[in-house]
Amino acid sequence: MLRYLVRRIFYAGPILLGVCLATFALFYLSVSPEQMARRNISAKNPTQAQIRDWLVARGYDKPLQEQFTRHARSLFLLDFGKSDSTGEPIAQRLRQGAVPSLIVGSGVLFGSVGASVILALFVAAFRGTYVDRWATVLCVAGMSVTVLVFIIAGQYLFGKLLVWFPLAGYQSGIGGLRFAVLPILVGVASALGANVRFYRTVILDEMGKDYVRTARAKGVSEPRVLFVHVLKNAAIPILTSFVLSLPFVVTGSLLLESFFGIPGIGSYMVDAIDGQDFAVVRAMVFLGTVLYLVGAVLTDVSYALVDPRVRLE
Amino acid sequence: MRLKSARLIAWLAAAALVAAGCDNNPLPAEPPGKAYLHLSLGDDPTSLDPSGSLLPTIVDNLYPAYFSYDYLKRNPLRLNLELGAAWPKREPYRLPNGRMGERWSFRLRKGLRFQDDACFPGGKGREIVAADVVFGIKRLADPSISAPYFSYIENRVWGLAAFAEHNSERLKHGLGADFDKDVPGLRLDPKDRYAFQIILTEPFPELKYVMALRCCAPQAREAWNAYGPEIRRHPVGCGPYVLSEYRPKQRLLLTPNPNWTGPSYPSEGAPGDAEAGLLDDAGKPLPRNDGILYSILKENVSSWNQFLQGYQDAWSLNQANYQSVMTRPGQLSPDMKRRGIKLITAMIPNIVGFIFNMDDPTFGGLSLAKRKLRQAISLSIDRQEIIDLFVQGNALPAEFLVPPGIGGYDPSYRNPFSGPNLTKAQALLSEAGFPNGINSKTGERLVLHYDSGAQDSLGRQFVSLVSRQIGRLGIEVVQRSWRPVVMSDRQVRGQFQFIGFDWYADYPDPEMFLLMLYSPNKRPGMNRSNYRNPVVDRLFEKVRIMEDGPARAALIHRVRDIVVEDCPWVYLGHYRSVLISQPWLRDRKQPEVDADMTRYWAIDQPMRQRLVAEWNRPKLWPIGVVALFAGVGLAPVVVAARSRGRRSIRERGGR
Amino acid sequence: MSVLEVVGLRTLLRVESAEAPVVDDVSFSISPGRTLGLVGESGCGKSMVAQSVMQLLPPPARIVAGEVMLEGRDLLGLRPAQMRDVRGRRMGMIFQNPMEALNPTLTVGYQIRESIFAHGRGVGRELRSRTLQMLREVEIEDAEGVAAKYPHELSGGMRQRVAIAMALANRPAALIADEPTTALDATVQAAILRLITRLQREMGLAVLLISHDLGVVNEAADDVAVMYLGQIVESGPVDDVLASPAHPYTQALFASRASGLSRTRRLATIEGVAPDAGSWPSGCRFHPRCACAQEICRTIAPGEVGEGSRRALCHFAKLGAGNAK
Repeated sequence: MLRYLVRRIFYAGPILLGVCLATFALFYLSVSPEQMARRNISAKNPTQAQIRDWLVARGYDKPLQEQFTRHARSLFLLDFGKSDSTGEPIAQRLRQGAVPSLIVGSGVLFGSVGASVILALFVAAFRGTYVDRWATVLCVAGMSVTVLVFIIAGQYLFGKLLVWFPLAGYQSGIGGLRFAVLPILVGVASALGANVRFYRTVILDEMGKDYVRTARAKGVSEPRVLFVHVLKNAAIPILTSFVLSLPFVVTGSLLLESFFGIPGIGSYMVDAIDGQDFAVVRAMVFLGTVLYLVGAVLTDVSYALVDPRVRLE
Repeated sequence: MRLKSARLIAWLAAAALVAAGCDNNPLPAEPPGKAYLHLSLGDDPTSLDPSGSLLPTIVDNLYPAYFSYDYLKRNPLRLNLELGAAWPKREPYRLPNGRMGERWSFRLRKGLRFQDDACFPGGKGREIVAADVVFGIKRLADPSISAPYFSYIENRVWGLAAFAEHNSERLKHGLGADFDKDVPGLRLDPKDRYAFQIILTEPFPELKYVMALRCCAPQAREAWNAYGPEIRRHPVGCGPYVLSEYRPKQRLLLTPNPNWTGPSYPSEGAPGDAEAGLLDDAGKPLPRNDGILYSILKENVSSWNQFLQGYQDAWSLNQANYQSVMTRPGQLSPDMKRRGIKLITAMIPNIVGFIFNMDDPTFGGLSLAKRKLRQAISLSIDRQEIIDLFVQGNALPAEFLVPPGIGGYDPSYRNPFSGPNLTKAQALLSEAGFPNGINSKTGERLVLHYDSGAQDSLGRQFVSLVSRQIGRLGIEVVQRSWRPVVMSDRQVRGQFQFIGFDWYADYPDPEMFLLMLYSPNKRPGMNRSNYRNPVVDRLFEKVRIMEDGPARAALIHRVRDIVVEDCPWVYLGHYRSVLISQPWLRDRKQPEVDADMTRYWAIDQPMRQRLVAEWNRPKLWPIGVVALFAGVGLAPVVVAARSRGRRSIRERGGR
Repeated sequence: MSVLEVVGLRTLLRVESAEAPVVDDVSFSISPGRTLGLVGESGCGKSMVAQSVMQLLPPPARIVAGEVMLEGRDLLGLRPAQMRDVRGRRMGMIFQNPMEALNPTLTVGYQIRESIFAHGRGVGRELRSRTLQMLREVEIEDAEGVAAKYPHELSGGMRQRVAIAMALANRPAALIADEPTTALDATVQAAILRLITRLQREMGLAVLLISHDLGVVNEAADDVAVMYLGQIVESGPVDDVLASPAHPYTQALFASRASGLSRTRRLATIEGVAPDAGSWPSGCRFHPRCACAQEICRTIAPGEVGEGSRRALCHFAKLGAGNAK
């Protein structure tokens, strides 16, 4: 286990450096620093002197090699620096935005996994009946509709027609719960189609396995068969999809946050690309890579926890 | 057991829904007896630093300047003293190099104080003196903040450009701006701590407007020392409000500044204001509301829907909801009328149009043939069609750069090359050597490249409509769309033939528009078409230093006649902003200049509470309907499963 | 007195939209301490008989007629909850493939414990000691070590021992062993068979041993029943049946075994393949493959011919010949 972790950390270094280099190269290929400056200076018509000063203030006048080593070094030391456009410390933005993103993101993740497992078990228990058939139809319909449609429909239905929840907004603390309900509901609903279908297949697959028959032959009760034997084995593929989506919980959901006014970091990266804010882009790409690597390790670890056949050497 | 737990979960979920719902109010609770104005922003303000902010929203409420625009009077817009004690004295001044400049002497009101802030000793805002205004102007020469309005005064205030250069040099060595260094053009009076002088290297009558901009508000050196560049998120102002809460990406709350003493609500207005009830509150103190709560909502749909629910007090219309609000120009839809929504239109001086690249070998140049070519294209554009289709008619077709309300505007003037007039256009095109768009010498079709930064479908529709209109002349229009950042780069570098271009004024003076025709302002300056006409340049230099009046208007008309003939521009329209407010919002008049005047707005709180409650009654019956449908739908299988679970094989028997 | 008695059992299987019998009027009984070997080709319905008796049929199959009596109780008259309690407590079952028959994510010890506490018997320490005791009874030396292991850490033979321990943990009256040794090596096979025999003796179990392998049946069973297409075509004491098979199918089956199991030889002996359920021939079901089929075999289903403890389902059953010898 320890050796495994050490090795993974060793591998992470070159990957992160490569990602840094790729980000750096791609960004400079697509925009020149001067374009960046022109986009970020708030004046209607920046003067040449202002553009020059903007570049100097942010170090974009230095030779590329020096810029890269400086950026890479500070990123590796987890010093994200300041946004090019607003001057706001990036770490501060991340700290402020992570909690709302986490609340909504984890709500969606746990909600969708929980609801999907329950529904999938239900559908699997009634396999072959009209419930199963209709569930399949609904799942396919849900899968083919984009998140945007779920958001608009959710806002329209629950916010405008039924007037149950605030359309958008956010508050911290317990009172803020009612703001989180609708985005989480919408997020869960949009994930449900694909999840239920996948989980149903996994569960039915497991229910056909020999060990289930053995358990029944022992006289184990039906709920126990389902919840202990089947679910424990079905948990392996479910867990994979779960852990792989963990990084997105931290980085937030772009559309949900934009539409529901969640002050998270879901749109931070996209806004930064839009606004040519290279400081934020490279920090977010770096962070995303780190999270992805951590996610990969977590997947392996969780495999080992759930499936005794897997060992981390 | 499985079924029971499923049912329990369903009931719990339903109960949670009911408990969590019933209140869809997205706004935090307000202190009892207080009525905040509810507005929304699309994103965090990039900067609340008056030196670095381009947009007036919020900043104007925190940082008032020497002058402010009259809330009600229009046409012309009028300046009132805000922080100033007297109108500045303006006199000629001989500079050491022998040139004649100008000296303006200002005096601040006594007893003005900054807002309370921890950066001051004891946390109490200290009195404002002339040195604070001078510090504010000096801050514009800090190269690290890219001050948007700096270019208006950089070369006009004596010694300011050199001061900026000095600071740029320091920046290269990683040093901050040197605010202790004196700028000769900014003078304090050793005998009078409220008086200051600005010495200009050339006459500049528009300085009065600059002194009404937030960038010339007094700023506390203590705040800069304490917070540095972070004052963009931690303002220390002196205006009618203070920023009392700021949650990034969530909301900002402005509450009245107890230290503020300023003008009260005006008692005179423009014609019609009294009838509209705008003078009902005459003489009452400002601000007229108990605070302003800005919700930050990125998606238009969400904030628009909140306006419809009554959780936003005002809304400025955009393409997405023109249709649902207005049936035809100036007419609210029946639904909006029923709600009592009020419609307000205003025109911040602006011009929207197209420019030619005057350096282009095919379309540029001032020769007669090239002029006729451009005039023909100008005649092919159907301004009204574009305005009707894209802004629901909310624009005035433009004849020249100068919009109404600005000196030199002539409502009776008709541009001889304003479209659509295809017959005349064809004739001009033939005279230019391109009958029906075909080069009479080579037989090749004339090609016009139309570059744009259009990204969304609306932008592309605009581009193709314009292309179709020009295409009627037989000219082949090639549309090229670029990413915005690339487009602005091409514009600055002159890599275009024909592009859309628009501009709005920071202050209501014709100079703001004519500067786009002045050849020293050539690219990357605002004369993006690189139009060069020495006669126009000389006239502009005169106009620039004149006070508004008939003499100035006459010169502007001369410029107009020349430029219209040269045709570097195709004028499309002066766009109106269309705004709506809730029935409970009173005293709202939209400024016709880029300024934030929300401090004048008042709220009829009882009406707001009544209507919002009426508009937001939750409907709970659908829970029952859904539960019923689910119950009916699932009952057969559940019943079947239960009976199977209770009966032996023998009991189940044949079936 | 028999422990397990099956009379006229009939099970249908839904194939597409039609239902066809897979177990057709099967009867047998097993006394305590006795083993009945059920043999036949694959697809003849052996496993269906076992699953019908346990009421563990897959959803498309259902029992429509007959009686299954365990220790005098009519199992088909029990409610599902009552039947669940019978399974594992009064009647255990082991399966063909020990690799997949155990849950890969639970420890061996837990799975044995579960078969005890599923019937509400024993708590805490008692459970644990009974688990270890069961492991020792199936001749596992390191009972504590093995109990903590997961199935994938054990060999095939060990896993089958664990399966047996699970099936017998509650001291049932009957054990159904569905091809218990098929997936195992020859040496392990013998050991497992010996284990089953020993436990049967010690516990006085009635065993239904299902196998396609006559050798296994010969070694472990007291009686044998030969199945072909859902029917028991011949039954009787193992030695008798082996010595003088009465039914042509039994003869062919034995011949294929006796001749050293050459593939070609076997095919020559029993030509053709058993048809699928739903497309069984009329008359005697074996007649299309029978070497000595007559006209009568094609039209009239044979009745049961019996003599002493032996039964056969053939128009030309030669029961006497075997006895005369």
